[in-house]
Amino acid sequence: MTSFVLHTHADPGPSRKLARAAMSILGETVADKDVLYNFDLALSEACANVVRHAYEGMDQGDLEITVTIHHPDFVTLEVADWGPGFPTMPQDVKNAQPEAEGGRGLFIMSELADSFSTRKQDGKHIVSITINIGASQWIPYE
Amino acid sequence: MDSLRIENKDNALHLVFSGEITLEITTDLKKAIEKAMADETFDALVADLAQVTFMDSSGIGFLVALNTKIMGTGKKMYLLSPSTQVRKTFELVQLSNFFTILDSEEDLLQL
Repeated sequence: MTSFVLHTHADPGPSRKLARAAMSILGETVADKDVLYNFDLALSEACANVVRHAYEGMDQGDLEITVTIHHPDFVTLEVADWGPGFPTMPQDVKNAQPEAEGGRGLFIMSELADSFSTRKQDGKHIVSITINIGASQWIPYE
Repeated sequence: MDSLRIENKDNALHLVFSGEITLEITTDLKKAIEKAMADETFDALVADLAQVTFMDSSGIGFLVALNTKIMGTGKKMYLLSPSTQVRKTFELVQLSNFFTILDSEEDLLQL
């Protein structure tokens, strides 16, 4: 198991740059382009949720991405914030109505993840996204 | 703006996007497009998505809002040649049939 921790201020520009840095790490580990796109999309949604909602009504705080590679089985992405906390995760995450401008982030993450959960730990609120990686989808170890 | 080129062709306002459409850029895109919509005369708006490499739900929300705004003025909005990545995001949130998607500029001429 190998972990990488990346940290920045939870503004739109820095957060997207941090997600790209996480994807750069994954790009050296996972070969399959579709799987990488799924990671990028799920990560972008998790980061956007922090930027938009984690610090509502207060000074914008920080955002942390942890990439944990469990070769040869799966990769877990965790996105953490230090805000007051999110509402309880709904049992059944629904897609938004077509005309809705927002409300699709959780649905996208839950659709893409093999395992998707939230927790509070050490003062952080963490969204955890695990995607299984098939044997042929890894970049082979030298 | 590097990620957006705006052209008025035969009364169709073409928005040619490139790169990523995410929360990082949607506020700037919205401002640029609102200015063009105020300055230009047009009957239809064409969002060319062929060169978009990545789009998340912030990008989708941006396109849905733009569509609602255009429909409210009695004009039409088309999505032109969405890239594979954009189509994938649309399919994931089941919006492939919500927008009018054209595969090529020739399709636009035949409308």
